[in-house]
Amino acid sequence: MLTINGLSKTYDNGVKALDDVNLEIPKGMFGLLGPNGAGKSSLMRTIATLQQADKGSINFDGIDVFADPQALRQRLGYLPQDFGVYPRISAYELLDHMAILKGIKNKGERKEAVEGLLAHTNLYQHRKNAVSGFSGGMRQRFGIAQALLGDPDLLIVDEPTAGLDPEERNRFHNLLVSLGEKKAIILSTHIVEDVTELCPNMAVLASGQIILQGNPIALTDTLNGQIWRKSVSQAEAIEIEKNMPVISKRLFAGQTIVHILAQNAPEGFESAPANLEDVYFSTLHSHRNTNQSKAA
Amino acid sequence: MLAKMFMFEWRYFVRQPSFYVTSLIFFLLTFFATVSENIQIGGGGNVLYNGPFSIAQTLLIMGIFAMFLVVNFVASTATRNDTSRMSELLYSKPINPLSYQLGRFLGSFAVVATVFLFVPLGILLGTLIGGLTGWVDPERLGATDLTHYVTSYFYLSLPTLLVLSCFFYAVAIRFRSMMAVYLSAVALFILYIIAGQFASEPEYRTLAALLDPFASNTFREVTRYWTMFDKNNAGIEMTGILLQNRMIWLVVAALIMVFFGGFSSKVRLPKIKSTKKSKKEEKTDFSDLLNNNISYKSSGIQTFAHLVMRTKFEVKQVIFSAPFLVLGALTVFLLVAPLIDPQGMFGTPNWPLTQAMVTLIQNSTELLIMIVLAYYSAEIVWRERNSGMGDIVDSMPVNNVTFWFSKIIAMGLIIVLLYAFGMFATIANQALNGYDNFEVSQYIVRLGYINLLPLLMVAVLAFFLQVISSNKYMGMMLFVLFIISTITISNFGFSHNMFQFAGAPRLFYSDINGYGNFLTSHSWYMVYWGAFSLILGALGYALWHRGPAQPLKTRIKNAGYYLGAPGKVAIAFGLVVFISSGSYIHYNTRILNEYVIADDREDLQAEYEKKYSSYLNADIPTITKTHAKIDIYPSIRKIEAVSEVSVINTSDKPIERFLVSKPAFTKVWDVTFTGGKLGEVDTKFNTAWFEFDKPLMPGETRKGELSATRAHQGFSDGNNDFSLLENGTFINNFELFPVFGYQEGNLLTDRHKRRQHDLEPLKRANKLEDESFYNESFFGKGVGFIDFEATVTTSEDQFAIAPGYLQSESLANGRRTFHYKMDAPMVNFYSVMSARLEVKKEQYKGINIEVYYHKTHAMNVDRMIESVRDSIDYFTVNFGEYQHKQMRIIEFPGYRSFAQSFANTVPYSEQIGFITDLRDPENIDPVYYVTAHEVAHQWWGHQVGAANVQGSAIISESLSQYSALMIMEKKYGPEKIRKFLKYELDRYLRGRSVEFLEEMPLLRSENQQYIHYRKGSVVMMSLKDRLGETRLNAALQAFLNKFKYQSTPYPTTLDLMAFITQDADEQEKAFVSNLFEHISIYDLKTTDVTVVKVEGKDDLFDITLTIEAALNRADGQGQETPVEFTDLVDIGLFSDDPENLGADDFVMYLQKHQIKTGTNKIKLQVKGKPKFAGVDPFVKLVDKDGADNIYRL
Repeated sequence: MLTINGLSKTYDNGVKALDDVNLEIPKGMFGLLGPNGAGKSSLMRTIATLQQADKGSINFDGIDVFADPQALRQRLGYLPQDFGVYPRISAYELLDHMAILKGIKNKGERKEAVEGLLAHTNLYQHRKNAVSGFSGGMRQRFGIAQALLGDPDLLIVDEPTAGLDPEERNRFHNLLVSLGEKKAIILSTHIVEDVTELCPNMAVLASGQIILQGNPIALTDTLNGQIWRKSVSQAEAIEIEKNMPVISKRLFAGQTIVHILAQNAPEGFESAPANLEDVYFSTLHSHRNTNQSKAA
Repeated sequence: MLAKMFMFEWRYFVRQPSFYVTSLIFFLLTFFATVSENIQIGGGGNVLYNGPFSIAQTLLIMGIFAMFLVVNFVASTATRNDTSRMSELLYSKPINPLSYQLGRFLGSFAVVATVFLFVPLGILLGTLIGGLTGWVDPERLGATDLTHYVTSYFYLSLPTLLVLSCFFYAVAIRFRSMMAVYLSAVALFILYIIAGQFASEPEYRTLAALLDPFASNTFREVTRYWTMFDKNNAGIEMTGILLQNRMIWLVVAALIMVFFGGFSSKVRLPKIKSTKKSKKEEKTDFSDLLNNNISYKSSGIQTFAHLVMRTKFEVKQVIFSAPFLVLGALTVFLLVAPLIDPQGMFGTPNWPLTQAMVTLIQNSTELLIMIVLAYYSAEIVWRERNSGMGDIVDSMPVNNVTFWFSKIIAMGLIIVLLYAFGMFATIANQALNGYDNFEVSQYIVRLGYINLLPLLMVAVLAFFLQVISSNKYMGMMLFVLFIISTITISNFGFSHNMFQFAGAPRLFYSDINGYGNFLTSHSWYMVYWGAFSLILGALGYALWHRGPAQPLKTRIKNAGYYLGAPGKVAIAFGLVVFISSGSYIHYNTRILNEYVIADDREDLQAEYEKKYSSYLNADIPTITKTHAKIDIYPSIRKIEAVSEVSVINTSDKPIERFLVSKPAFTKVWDVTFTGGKLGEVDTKFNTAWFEFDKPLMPGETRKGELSATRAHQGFSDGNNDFSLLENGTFINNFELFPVFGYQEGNLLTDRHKRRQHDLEPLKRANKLEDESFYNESFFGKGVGFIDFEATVTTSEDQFAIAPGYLQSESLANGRRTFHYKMDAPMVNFYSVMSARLEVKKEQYKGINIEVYYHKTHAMNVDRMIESVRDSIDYFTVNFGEYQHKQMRIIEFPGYRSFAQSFANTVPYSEQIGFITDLRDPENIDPVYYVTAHEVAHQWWGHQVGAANVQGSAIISESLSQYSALMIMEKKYGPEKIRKFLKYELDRYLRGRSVEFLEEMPLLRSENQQYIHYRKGSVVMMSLKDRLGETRLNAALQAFLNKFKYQSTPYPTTLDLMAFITQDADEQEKAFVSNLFEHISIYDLKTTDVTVVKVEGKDDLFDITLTIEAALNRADGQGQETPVEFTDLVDIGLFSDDPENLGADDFVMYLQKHQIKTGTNKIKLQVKGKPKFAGVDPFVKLVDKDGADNIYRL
C-alpha cells in the first residue's frame, strides 16, 4: 500500500538522517524499530508530508506523496513524537477544530466522531478542560484522538505510548488492532515489546538505513536454537563481554542475565527461546560491528 | 559567591553573539550618525559634533534605545533559569539569594554598561576619522576633549542604565516572562513620549525635568536657552536640577531592587497556577459513546469552511490576549495627552475638528502600529510552530491560502480595532468638548482608505518576510530592515512613491477644499501597490511553512503546486496590473508633471546661483501700473492670466536686458514690451533674458504685457500646487506671473550644503548702512507702488477677490466676472482668490468689514470683526488714517498656515484663528491678536515700507506686533499681555539657541523670525513701559508721517530709532541702545527681603530688598560679556503670587527704582505685610531666569 523507494535525506548540518531507505508497507500494523537517533522521526515526518527528501519517492495507494501532498493529507492521520497545543482551548473544542481541518464537514457526524474519540481515549470527562493544562499522558491520548479523526487510510504514530500508564497503553493497543485491518499503520517505537504484540510486519532502522525487515515471527524463528543465556554477577558479566558476542544484558532479581548468540552452547550457558528482542539486538550488534570495521 | 556569580554572568554574555552584535550596532549607529549627513541623532544647527552639547544629546537619545539593550541582557538574566528549564536543577541547590541575585544582576548590568560605552566611542572615532578623511565638515569639529565624553557618560547615561536595569530586572523577576518585559518596555517607551508632549508646556517643565528617568527633559531644561557658544563650550555640571534628578532616580532604583529585586525571598520555582477543577459531570458513564461511529471520512479540502473557522480562531487568539488589551489601552493613552492638553497657538486650544482628530490618530499611532506589525506578524505566522501544534496542523488537508488568509484577516483586524479605539476616543472627546460635527465619513475615508489600506499591504509584506525566513526573529529583523530602508532609501534617490512600498503621495486634507485631487493619485498608487501586494500575498501562501524547518529552497520548488491555478492567475493578473498602473503613474508623475529628487534640486539651485548670481544687483524695470485680466477655472485647476503693465527704469543707467523667470506649473507664458522681446528659455532653470533692442533709459516708462497660463494635468508625486485649487484658490502675483531679475528665493540656505557646493556663505541681508539699497523695498528689487485694476472671472458657484473696490459684478455663460479697481497706490504685491465661502459683512465708520469663511468655521468670525474695529479705532487715533474703505478677511485652505496682509485684504489660513476655541477666558485670544496684527500691517508695511537692508522686518513686523499688543492690552488687560509676553520671551530665547548663522541685534535683524516677532514684542512693550504709551505712539506717528508712501528712500531701523529717541534723556537713550543695538541679557535676582514692623504703627512695615543685578552683552554666537548699567527697573510688593494671573488687586507697590550693576538695597515702607517681593516682577526685560526675580516671603 505504501511504497518507499531510495529515500535519502541529509540535513544542513551534515547529519545523514535517511540513507537509501526502501520499504514496502502493506495494510495492517507495521512496526518501525530503531535506537534513539536512528532516523525514525525523520522517516515519519517525510511520510507525513512535513519534510521533503533529497532523493527517492514515496507512493501511497497511487498518490505520489512529494508531488501531491494535499492528496495524502486527506487520508492521513499523524501523531508526532513531540507536540504542543494551542493555549486556552478545551479538549472538545480543539478536537472539533481538528475535525473541521480534517474535512469532516457534517456537523452531526463531527459531533459523533469527536465524542466517540474522546471516549475511546478516556478523555470525555475532561473534554471541557484546556488541553494545555493536561498531564503528559492525557495530552498523548489527545494526540492519539486527533490522529484517528477522519478514519485515515494511513496512520503514522511516532512513539505513541510514551508516557502512558500500562492500562492506557493496553487500551490504545486494542484500539489500534481493531482499526488495523483496513488501513496501513506505521508504529514507530524503540520498545520491542510493542512490535512483538502488535505488528505482523516490521523493519529496523539504524543510522538512517533499514538493516532488517520482515515478519517478527519469521525473524525470531531464524534465531531459534542460537540464543544462550546465563545468570551471573555484574563483575562476571563484564568478564564475559570481553570474550563472547553478548547481544544483551538484562537485570533480573539483582542478577545479570547475559544473552549470547552462538551456534553451540558455551560453557555454563543454557539454551533460551529466541524472542524479537534478541533479533533486534543481534541485528544492531552486527550493524555496529560492520560500521566499526568499515571505519577501521 | 557574589563575585563568582558576577563573573559567571559576565563570561556568559561575553560568549554570546548578541553582545558583539549589539555593541556593533550601538557603535555603528553613532559612528555613522557622526560621519554621515543622512543620519542625524543629536546635534543639528551649527553645533560642533564633538562639542559637549552634541555628545550629551547623542548619549541621551541612545539612552532611550538602550531600554531594549537592558531588556535583552538584564531581563534575560532574570528569566534565563526559567526559559532554559534550568530552574529545577538550580533551585534545589543551597543558594544565598542576596549574593546570587545581586551578583547576576551586577554582572549583566556591567555588560549593559560596557555595550553602551560604544556610543561615546562611536562619536569619538567618528569625529577623529571623519575629520581626517574629510567626511565631516571640519568647521563642525572642535578640539577633542575627553572630559565631555566622560561626564556625559557618567552623569547622564550610567544612572539611566542603572534605573532601567533595576526596573526591568524587577519586572522580569516578578513576572518571569520576557513577554511581560517587552510589553513593559514598549509601554514605558510610549508613556515616555506622551509625557514628553506634556513636558513642553512651560508649567510642567520643572516637574518633567525632575521626573525624567532618561534625563532628557532635565538636559533640555538645563540647556533650554543655551546659545551656540554655550553648546560648544559649556560642560555639563552635576548641579541643580540635574543633580536632583539623578539622586531621585538612584534612590528609586535602589528601592526597586530592595523591594522587588527578589533578594529577600528564597529563589524558587514559579508558582504553578492551580488549574480549575472541572465541575462534576452529571454524566459519568460515557461507555455508550464508545459505540459512536468514529470512522467518518474526510470529505476533501473544505477551503471555505476552513477559512471561516480559522479566521474565527485566529481572531479569538489575537483579541483575547493580554498584549492586545495592552495595545488597545496604549492607543487610547497615546491620544489622551494631546486631547486633554491640546497645543494651539499661545497655549489656546483649537476646536476638535475631525480633520485634526484624524491627523492626531494617524500621528500618534504611527510608531505603535509599526511595532504591532513587526510583533504580530511574527506571532501570527509562527503560531502553529510556537504552540507545538505545527506538525499536526501542517499535516492536515488544509490549503496554504486558508492559513494565510485567516491570519492576514486577524492581523488586519488588530489595526482596524486600534483605529476604532482611537476613533471612539476622539469622538468622545469631540462630544465632551461640545463639538458635534463628527464627520464620521471623514474618519472612515482617511483612516480606512488613506491609512489602513497601505498598512494592510505592509502586513502582507511582513507576512511574506516571515514566510521566507527560517524563524520568527529573522523575519522580524527583515521587517525592521524594511522599515529602516523606507527611511534611508530616499537618500539614494528613491524618494518617488513608486519605490516606497505601499507609498502614495501624502494626502493633505482641508475642510474647504476637501480631498482636493489627492484621492485620484492615492487610488492609482493603491492599485499599483495593491497589485504588488497581491503577488506578495500569493507567494506568501505558496511558500508557506508546512512542516518544521522546510528550507526555502524546497518550498520554492513546491511553490507551483501550492499556488495552484488561481494563484498563478492572481500573480499574472497582479503583474499586469502592477506594470500597467505603474506605467500610468509614471506617465502622470514624471511626464505630465515634474518630479525632481531632492539632491538634483539642490544641484540645480547651486548651478543657478553660480550661473546667474552676478546679476543679483543688475537693474530691472519696476512695474508702476497693472491692469490684469485673470480667468480662473477652479474645477479643472486652470488660470489664464494677462496683465497689461507699465514699467519704469528707476536706476540711473539704461537697461538693455533683464532676467525673467517662468512661473511654476505654467507651460504657456510670455513677456512683451515695446522695443524688445523675450529670448530663448533656459529650460534647465526656467529662465530667459528679455532683450531690449532699444534700451530702457533712466526714468523712461514703457508699456508691455505679462501672460501666463497655469494648468494641471493628471497627478503628481508630491509636487503639489496649493495655490490653484478646486475651492480656495489663493495665488499672489509673484507666483502667477513671470518675475523679473535674479531670484534669491532659489538659493540654498543651509550653510553646510552651500559649502558642499562651493558656494559663498549666504548673505541674508544687505548692510544696514548701505545706502545703495535705500531706494529698494524689502519686497526686493523692482517692487514699488502701483496703480491697480483687475477683471477676474471664475465659475458660477464661486466668487473672486482681487485688491481694490468692486466696480461691477456680472454673470454670463456660467462665468462670474468681477471688476476691481484700487483708488490709492499699493505695493506691487497682491493676491487673487477664488472660493465658495460664506460671508459676513459689516459697515463700521464708513469702512466695509467682510469676513469670508467656510460654513463650519463660523465660530470666531465676530471676534475677527471686533478686532478689525478695535484696530482701526486705535491705529487711526494713534498712527493716522486708514488708507482704504474696506477690510476683507478671507479664509483659505489649511495646506498652508499663515495669515498675510495685502492691501485691504487678509488671506487667513483655516488652520489658524478660524478654528481656535475661545471659550475659556483664561486663555490668550490668538484670533483677536492675529487679526489685529494683520490689520496693523495696513499701516506698517503698506503705508510705510522699509529699505531692503538689515532690520527691514522690524518696521513691518515688530511694529505690527506692538500695535496688536496694544489693542490686546486695552481689551484683555495687562495680565493677559504678561502671559503673552512670557510666551514671546521664551520663544525668543529658544529661537536664539538654534540660530545657525549669527544672532543679530534687533536693529540689524536679518529676517530672523525669533527676533522680529518674538523679541520685537518684548522690546516694544518694555519700551512702552519705559517711555509711556503716549510718547512712544507719538514717535511712531511722526515716523509714519515722514515716510508715508515714500520710496526714495525707504526708511530703515536707524530712522525708526532716531524718532524713538528724539526727546529721550541719556539714561533712556542708553536703554534704547541696549534694546536695539545690542543683544542684551539682563540677570536680575532678589536674593533677600527683610520685613520689619514699624514700632508703634499697627499696619506699617519696613521692607528691605537685596537685589543682584547684572547686564550681559552677547555676541552673535551667544558668548556673553558683562557691562555696567544703571537704570530704572520695576520693584514690586505683592499680596499674592504675581505669577497667578487670576488674582485681583495683588499689587501693593510697583515703582521704578534706580538699579545698578552689583548688589542693590532698596528700602520701602508699606501698609500691610507683603507675601511676595521682587525686581522686574513682570519680566519686562530680557532675563533668562525670570523666576528668581521674585522672592517669596
